[in-house]
Amino acid sequence: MNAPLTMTENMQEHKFDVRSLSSADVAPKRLSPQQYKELGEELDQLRQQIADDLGQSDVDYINQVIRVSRGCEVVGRLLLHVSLDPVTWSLGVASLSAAKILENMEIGHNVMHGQYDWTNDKALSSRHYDWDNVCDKESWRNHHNFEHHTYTNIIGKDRDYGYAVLRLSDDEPWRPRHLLQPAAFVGLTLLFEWGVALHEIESEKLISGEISIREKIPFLKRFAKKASRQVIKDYVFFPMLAGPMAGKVALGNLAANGIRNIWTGSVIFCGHFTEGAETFTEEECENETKGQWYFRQILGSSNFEGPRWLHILSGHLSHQMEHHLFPDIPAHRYTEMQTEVKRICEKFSIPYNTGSFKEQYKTVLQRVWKYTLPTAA
Amino acid sequence: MQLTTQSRHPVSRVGRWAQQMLFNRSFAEYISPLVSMVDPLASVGGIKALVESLNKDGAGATTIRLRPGRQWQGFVPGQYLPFTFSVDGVRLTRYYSISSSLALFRQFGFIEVTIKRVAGGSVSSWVDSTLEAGQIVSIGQADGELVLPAQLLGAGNSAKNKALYLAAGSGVTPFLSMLKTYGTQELHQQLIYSASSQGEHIQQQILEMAATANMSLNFHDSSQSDRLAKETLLTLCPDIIERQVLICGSVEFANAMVAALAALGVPAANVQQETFYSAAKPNASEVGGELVLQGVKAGMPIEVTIESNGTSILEQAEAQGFSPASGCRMGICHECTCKKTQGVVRNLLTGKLSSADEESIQSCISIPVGQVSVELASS
Repeated sequence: MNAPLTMTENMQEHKFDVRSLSSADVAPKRLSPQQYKELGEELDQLRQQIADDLGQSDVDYINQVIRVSRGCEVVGRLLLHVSLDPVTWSLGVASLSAAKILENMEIGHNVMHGQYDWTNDKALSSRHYDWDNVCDKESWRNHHNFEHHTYTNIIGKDRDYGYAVLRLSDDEPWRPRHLLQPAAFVGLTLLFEWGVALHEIESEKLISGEISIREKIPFLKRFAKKASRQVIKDYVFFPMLAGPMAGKVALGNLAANGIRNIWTGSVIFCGHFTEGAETFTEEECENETKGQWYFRQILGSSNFEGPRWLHILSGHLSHQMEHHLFPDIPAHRYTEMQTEVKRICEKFSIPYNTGSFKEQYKTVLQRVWKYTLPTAA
Repeated sequence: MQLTTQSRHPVSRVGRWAQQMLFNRSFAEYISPLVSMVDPLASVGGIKALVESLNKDGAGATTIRLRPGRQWQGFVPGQYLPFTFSVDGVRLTRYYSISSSLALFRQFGFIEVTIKRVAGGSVSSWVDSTLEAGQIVSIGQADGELVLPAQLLGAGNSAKNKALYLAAGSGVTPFLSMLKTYGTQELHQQLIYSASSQGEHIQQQILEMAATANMSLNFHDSSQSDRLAKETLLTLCPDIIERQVLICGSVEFANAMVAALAALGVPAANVQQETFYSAAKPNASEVGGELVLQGVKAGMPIEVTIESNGTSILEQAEAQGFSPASGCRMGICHECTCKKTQGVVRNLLTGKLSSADEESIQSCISIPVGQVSVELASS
């Protein structure tokens, strides 16, 4: 078990090594201890202000999203079942994809973060909620909620950074295998839920011999249990219901899972792998204060802009910076928190990394390509 | 602690697996958000009740008339049931005794509960200010042992069928149901009701029944004189020794009544009681011990060490910004059960001290005594 991150009041000046900011950004190399303290206080205050305001409307909102998602799933599966023409089949795929995207992003991810634990509702409880995804919920809560959100973008500790598949900064030395990185990127996008589900296996440590496969048996059992359920549902049970038409149902489910994977993967890449998103070393994060932790969360994350439906479909991870500052505040509140976060960033001259989805995704592709080739550090 | 045992029968195991496979939860939980759009009283994912009407006495007491959904199995006068209200988005569960007659339920399908506004009580304040007719609330099946023994209600030697109810404060509500239900039976009922200020509402309900035969009612103003003394009991109820005695009130009230009844020679077998505890009062000797709370705060595991202020572990954890699982906050539902890794706690309901070993405790009714460490469960 990892020790909880300690937040000491022992303020040290940390030299944040800003490696990857574009020249256009005015990057703060560091803040003064006093500034970190003020930053922490202002963000704590914003968090408290929204936490105090949570109420019935937040519950009504998430329950409405749950109804829409479940409704889309029922409609999508029905359409796939009865479809005889490509149009009906495509509508079925679209409806099922929407259901899965809403369920994974706006409902599952957020509920499992504990954003609705305050409601005391078992159906919205992070302890009980299980999502429509091959990733086991306990594994997720450990590697995502704990490791990734605590050690965000610390190379060597945040295994979400590149998912141990991609080289995305010079912290990792270049090797010939990185030449295959563009293909790995496409693969990770298409099979994103499987990447997330197998994250805990720590393949890179298995290969290096640091850990043995024996240690991973309990995890593999949990993985097999959850993944087999999901596979049987989408590729055995529902196709079989359609009898001789099983193939088109299985294909429809494959398409819906694929569309969900492409979308969720892309959203998450835009949250941490964009041009301005920074990385950190373990040393510079030792004994960090709450203010410094907040500072790292801002610099390590990036947002994208768009209409409301885009935010909802992204589970409000379009507000990845706000999500990393306040992971347990209901995500649909990030939109209103953004104004204040921007103001605070401006006050302390911290770059606020945002742009359109297209722009942000372009910088992700550029980063993947850049580190495919050996770079002079 | 009640344990729900899952059936190990192969068919039900396959059924559970199939539901997990298809819905990642039970089918009822999956479909309930959709069904509730069509039929709000449908009982998938828990029993619901419709608030038919509200009757407020203007002094903070609200009598709620409800129509439970069809899956509700009825009650015996004296029983209570859990209510789950969504108070500002937070689901809070409280237990209330039914105060209406069995006939009202059997003939019209209604039950009534009377909820008195308590200063600082989140649910009772919300009921007083926000609950409206037409709303749907979640309920559970009726439960409770404070009911008249069957032999008292049977026909037969009517001279011996006598009951005495001793109530303090809101402990009077289960007896209201008995008085209303058994008023016409071959049973003599006497109520001695001790309260500092008799809520108009409750008083009104009692006075309505006073005209009925086979019933005597006594009010004891606890703000004027102390707790009911055994002499007072004997004066008000000279044949007390022949009666089945039912007590409902605070732990202190019940303890005092049990002692008085024993002194009067009432056989212990003839005494039944139900108690509730009201807001924890810090005990001077229990303030200041070191309390170590381990839990998750703002999405991160964190450990906090504080000086105990003598209130429950749940309240102290919440004051530190944790949101541990909790439910009824009165020691009934076990939602707040968490692991005490070391130290001794006092159980507010029983007053007993725990062992110092690692064990599960109910954080809402556990007060740290000395140094205590707890692992909080997230909700």
